[in-house]
Amino acid sequence: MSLRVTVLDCKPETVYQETVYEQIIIVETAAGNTFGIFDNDMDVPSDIIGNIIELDVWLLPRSKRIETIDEPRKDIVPNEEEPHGFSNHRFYGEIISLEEHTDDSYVSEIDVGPGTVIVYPFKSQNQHLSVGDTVYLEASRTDVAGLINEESHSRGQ
Amino acid sequence: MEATEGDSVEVLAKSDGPARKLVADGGVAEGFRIGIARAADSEAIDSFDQIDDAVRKIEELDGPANRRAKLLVSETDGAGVKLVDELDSTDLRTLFESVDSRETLARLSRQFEEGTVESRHLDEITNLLDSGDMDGADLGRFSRIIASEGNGPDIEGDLTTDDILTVAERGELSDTLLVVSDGEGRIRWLEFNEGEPVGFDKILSKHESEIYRQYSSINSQEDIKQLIKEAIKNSDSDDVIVKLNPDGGKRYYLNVEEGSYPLRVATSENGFILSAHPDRDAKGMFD
Repeated sequence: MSLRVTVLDCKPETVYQETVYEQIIIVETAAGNTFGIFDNDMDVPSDIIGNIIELDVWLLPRSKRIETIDEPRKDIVPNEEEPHGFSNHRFYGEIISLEEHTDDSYVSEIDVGPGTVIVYPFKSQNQHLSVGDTVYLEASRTDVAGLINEESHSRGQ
Repeated sequence: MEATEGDSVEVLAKSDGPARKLVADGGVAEGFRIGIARAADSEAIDSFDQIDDAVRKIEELDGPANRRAKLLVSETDGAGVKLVDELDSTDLRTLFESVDSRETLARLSRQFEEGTVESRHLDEITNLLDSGDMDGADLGRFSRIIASEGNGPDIEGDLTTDDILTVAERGELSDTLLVVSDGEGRIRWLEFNEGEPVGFDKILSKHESEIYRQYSSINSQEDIKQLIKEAIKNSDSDDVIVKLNPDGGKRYYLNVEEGSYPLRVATSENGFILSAHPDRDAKGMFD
C-alpha cells in the first residue's frame, strides 16, 4: 500500500546552478489535508502537478519510542506553522504490519487514512507495538520513498 | 636576523643596479632596505640580478601596491624577493593591488620558497585574481589551507595544492569550511553560503535539529561539519550514486553509513556539497 494524494505543487528545495537536486512536493489528501513531503531523489516529476498519485512515504519520527493511543484514529495533521515544509507533521493510524527489518529495527506500515506510511521503529524502544494498535507519531521528516503510480487524469476532471 | 654592515657592503660590491642604489642612498623605508640587504645573504636568492630585478619591479609599482611589496620584502627578505622576481610586472601589479594582507603575502612567498606553491600555481593565482574569480580573502584561505599541510581539521590529508586551486576556481575559497575527496577521488568542498539554498547554512537551517535528534553524539555545528567530512572521506565508489539531470550534467549523491551515522550527501558535478541529512535507506537508522 501507499499514500494516495493529489500533487498541488513541486517546490525546489536544493538548487545549484539552475539544477534542482531536492524538492518539496505539496500534496492534498482526499480529506483536504495539505502538506509538504521531502523528495530528495526527485522521484516526482513536475509535469504531474494536478494529478492524483500513489507514493511510498517514509517517516522519520521525532521520538524513538512510538506512542500508542486508545481511541482509533486515522489522520494526518500538517505542521500548523509550516504546512508546506517537510518537518513536524503529525500522523495517527493503525499498524497493519510490523516485521523485522534489521537486528535493531522493525519495518512497519501504518494506515493513516488516505493510505499507508512506512516507519522503521527501533526494536528496544518499541517492544510494546502490535499489529492493530493505533499509534501517534510526529515526524521530523516526511519523505517520498518512491512513486508507485500516477493516474492518467487529475481529480475533478 | 638583522642586516649587518657586511650585507650592505656585499650588495654595494656585487650589484651595479637598483639594489646598489637603494642600499647606498637609504632613501626608502628602512625595513625595505634591510630586507634587500638580508636577501643578498638568503638561500632563496641565486644571483644579485634577481635582487636588482625585484627592486626595479617594486619601484615601478604605485601607491599601496608599492608599499605592500616593500613591506613583504622587509618581512620575508629572500622569500619576498624571490616571489617578486618570479612574477612579471603585470602579474606583480595584479597581486599587490588585489591582496592587502601582509600575512597572506608573507605566507605565500614562504610557500613559494619552500616549493609547496610552484610557478604554475602563481600563474593560476594571478589569473584568478585578475579575472575576479579570486580575491584577497580567497588567497588568504588558500595559503592557510596549504600551510595546514593537510592536517587541519577541515582538510583531508591527501589533497594537493592543485586540488585547493581547483576549489578556488570553482567556488568561494574564503567561504569554504572543508575540502575532502570522496570514494571516487573527486574533490568535494563545503561552503557556508549564508542564506542560499545550498551549502552549510542550508543544511543547518533545514536539518540541524533532525541530525541532533537522530545522532546523540552529534552535539554541535562543528560535529555536523566533521560528520559530513568523515562520511565523504570514508565513502567508497559503491556509495556514490550518479543521476543524470534532464537538462544536462549529473547529480551525485552519497549514501554513507559511517559507523552509526548513515548520511545522505548531495553534491554537484563540480564537487560543491549541496545538502546533507540522515539517510532513510541506511540500516541502523534509529540506533
